[in-house]
Amino acid sequence: MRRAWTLALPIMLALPIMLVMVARPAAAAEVCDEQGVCIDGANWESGGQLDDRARAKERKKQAKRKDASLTVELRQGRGSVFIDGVWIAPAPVSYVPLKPGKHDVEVRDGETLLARGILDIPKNGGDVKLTIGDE
Amino acid sequence: MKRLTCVLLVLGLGLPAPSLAWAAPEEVTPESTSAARFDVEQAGQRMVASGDLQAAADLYWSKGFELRDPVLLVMSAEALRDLADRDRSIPAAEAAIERLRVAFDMLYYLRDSATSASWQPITSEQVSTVLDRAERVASEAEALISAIEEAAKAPVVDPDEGKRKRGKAKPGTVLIAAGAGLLVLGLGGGGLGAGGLAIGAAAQQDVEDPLVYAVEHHAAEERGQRGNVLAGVGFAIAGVGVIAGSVLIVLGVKKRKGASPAEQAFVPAPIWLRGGAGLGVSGRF
Repeated sequence: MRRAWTLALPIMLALPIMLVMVARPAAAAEVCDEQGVCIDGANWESGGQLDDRARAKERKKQAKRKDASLTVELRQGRGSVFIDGVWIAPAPVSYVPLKPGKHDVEVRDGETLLARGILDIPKNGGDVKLTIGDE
Repeated sequence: MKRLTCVLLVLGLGLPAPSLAWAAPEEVTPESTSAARFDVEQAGQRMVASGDLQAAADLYWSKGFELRDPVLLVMSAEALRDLADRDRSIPAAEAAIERLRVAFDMLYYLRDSATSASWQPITSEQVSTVLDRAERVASEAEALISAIEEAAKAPVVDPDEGKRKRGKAKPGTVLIAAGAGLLVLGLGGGGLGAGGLAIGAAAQQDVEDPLVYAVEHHAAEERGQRGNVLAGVGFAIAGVGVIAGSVLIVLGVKKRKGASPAEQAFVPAPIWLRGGAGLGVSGRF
């Protein structure tokens, strides 16, 4: 009986930890799409855009949450970064505070669209990194 | 209220980092931007009037970033284009093109993308107008670069070049030229003397002719005298011209012979032949 407990106790302690690890989004690893956009720390829906109504809704929903921070980098070339319809700066931009939830991000070099999509930042925030361009 | 800040690391080109209140953006409307732009334009125009185009360009650029206003960025490029034109400066023209890139990013976004009421620095109707303006500045700056490069490649025309090509006269040239002139004059005098002799000989025949009387005889005498005078003057000129010319040419030739071999080429010299005299040119080929 005592022997059974010595086996069960570590399993019972390890199980919740394993469950928590499994429950975390798989956003921690960098994921790249076919357009050469790689995301780390959030999910990326390529090609998507939000309107002002959707943006306002997201802002309201996530108002009390802690900020994440977004970094956008280009592997080559140049371009400007736009978030939720507003020009931010020429890339690279680092540690832009963003509430969790959905944000539309666009990077363009003049008329050339380099990346466009919806960034879905998890509730626990953290560092989000968007890297654009083929390696 | 928790103050939200954002840190932008803007690399390259020395771009100023815009101050952003990202999470709580103030509404940027065409009206608010136009009002903010007015003061900047006034200050910039004063700088342009005083000739400080670089300062005007930098003011428009920094305020364009701060206000997120593509019009001010285009104005910055215009000031740099004017600077490039005035100073024939390729770096200024290139900086104008570089600054337009950010303006193009903004303008094409405003034209093609899901814009927000939070950032409308110009009306949707103005977008194409400002785009045309920016494209015109870009093409003008590129044309300036080409023109300045072409001007740099073209050879510099020196107004003294023709004078230099003739070079310094060779030694003895003046003596030889003067001698040749006198020689030609002497030969002309010789011709005159020969003519005078011919006239005199003809008159002499008339005078000695027993069939020529009174008035005609007297006229023949006068012709003979004129012929003699002509012959005398002609041969005198011939003597002085040929002798003086020959002496001068000989002196010139001697002077030239004393010079370096390169300077001796094509030497004019008098030629004495059995049937007459002349001026020849000798030299090395």
